[in-house]
Amino acid sequence: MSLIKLGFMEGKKLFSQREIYIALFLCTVLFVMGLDAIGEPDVPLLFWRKLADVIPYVGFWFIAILIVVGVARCLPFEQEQGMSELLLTYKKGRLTLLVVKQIVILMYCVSIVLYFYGIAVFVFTMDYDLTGLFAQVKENPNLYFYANLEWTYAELMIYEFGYIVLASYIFALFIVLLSLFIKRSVFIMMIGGSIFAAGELFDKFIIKYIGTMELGYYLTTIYDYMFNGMLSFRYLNYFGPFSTNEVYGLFLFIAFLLFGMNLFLGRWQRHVAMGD
Amino acid sequence: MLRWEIKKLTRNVWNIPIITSVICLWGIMLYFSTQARFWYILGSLALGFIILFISTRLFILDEEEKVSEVILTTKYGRWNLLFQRVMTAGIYTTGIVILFLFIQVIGVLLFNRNEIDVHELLTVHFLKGCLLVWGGSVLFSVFTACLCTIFKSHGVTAILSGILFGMTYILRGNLLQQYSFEWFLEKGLFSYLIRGENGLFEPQWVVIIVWYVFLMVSMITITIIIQFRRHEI
Repeated sequence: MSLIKLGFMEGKKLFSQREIYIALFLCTVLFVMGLDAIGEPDVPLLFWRKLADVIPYVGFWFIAILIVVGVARCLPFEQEQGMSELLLTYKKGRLTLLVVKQIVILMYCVSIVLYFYGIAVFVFTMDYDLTGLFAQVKENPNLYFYANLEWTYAELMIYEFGYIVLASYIFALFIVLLSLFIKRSVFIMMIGGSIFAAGELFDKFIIKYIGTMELGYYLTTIYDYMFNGMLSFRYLNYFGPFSTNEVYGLFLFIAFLLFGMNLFLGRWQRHVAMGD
Repeated sequence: MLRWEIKKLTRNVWNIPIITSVICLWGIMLYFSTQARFWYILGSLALGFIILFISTRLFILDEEEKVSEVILTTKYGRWNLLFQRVMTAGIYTTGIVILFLFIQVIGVLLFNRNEIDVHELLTVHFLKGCLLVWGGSVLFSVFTACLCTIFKSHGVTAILSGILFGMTYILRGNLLQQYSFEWFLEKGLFSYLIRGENGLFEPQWVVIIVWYVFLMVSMITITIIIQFRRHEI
């Protein structure tokens, strides 16, 4: 079987999970509710500014939920179907399969991000004027992260899209890493979801209790530079240490690192399973 | 039968780590803040977590262990099996609520730095919503049990209930229009009840009671109809 065909089959397996569609339905409803909550007076370029702000404001929660739901079952699928032993006899080897699975996951991340941008475009088109894609950001700057004010909104949207795809892919690779150690998809979902939810709860509630303490400072730093911070654009804070280009470089490095680590651990586990 | 079912839940390996985490986090919260509220986030979330991932699993265990066909030949009857399992979920949840109340009280007594009257502290500030917590958590465990029985998938149940339960902590609808969709999402999906003390000052109690009765009756009816069609009761 060629690699493309293998990728196609893996994609089919991933996208045929009914859990994804149930989560997608709920997330879409909640996301549209979240869009309504961003009420603003009518000012120029509002469509593009709101589109740039929607993912860092609420969209990243739903992207994270869908990543956890979709990716959690990607690796344990064979185990849960009772064919993991059969998989060990696969001609091209487990390593190839893992590479293909991780590429399919990247496609999945791109689809999710595109889907939420699509929903936001659809909702905002009904209320705001679409003109101004090539206007400069400084005319009505986005609120949730720092971007070069000389950029046009077209450049900003391309940058933001790339950023969120990379951030969500890193989170997805982390879920893959978890699933190399945990065999049941529900528990992977539970642990992956809890890690993300704990970060959000910290940011929304716990920080109010300990915000003035030194511990609060350390935990905020951890929040800012872990998965929640990545997905909510905290790496691009106005006073953050990274420039826009450096963040891309860093994310690519982390993604490659996790990709390689998953391959290494996957190969090691194969040897353990084979007993050699 | 009930004893065996309860054993299945109490022997789950996740019980100890979750309860230990609750004890540690409650201790940390009390150490750092005198205003800490147990059920507001920590207790209610941990309880929701336990219901979703431990108690609900009882309803899918037969499928996972591929013994559902054998279990359905039970001499005690399939109705009895379903009833006993729902009872088990309720009893287990009650046990966890009592354990959490105990953890809450012990924590309060140990960290009572302001020398407030203990009786007042417990009755007025901490234990006032415990009946509501108990009611909410038992209802939630029955709700998730019904969902799990309908979908025959722990994953689907965890996603459906988890998103609806968890989102109320992030998307707060307190200030929204009464009886709107957001209002029902905030108050009508168990986390509002499990958070306890908030509910005591709820002016629209009658609407909320009617809503929960409607929700539970519909859920149980749908479960019974689907089970009946599958010849599982």
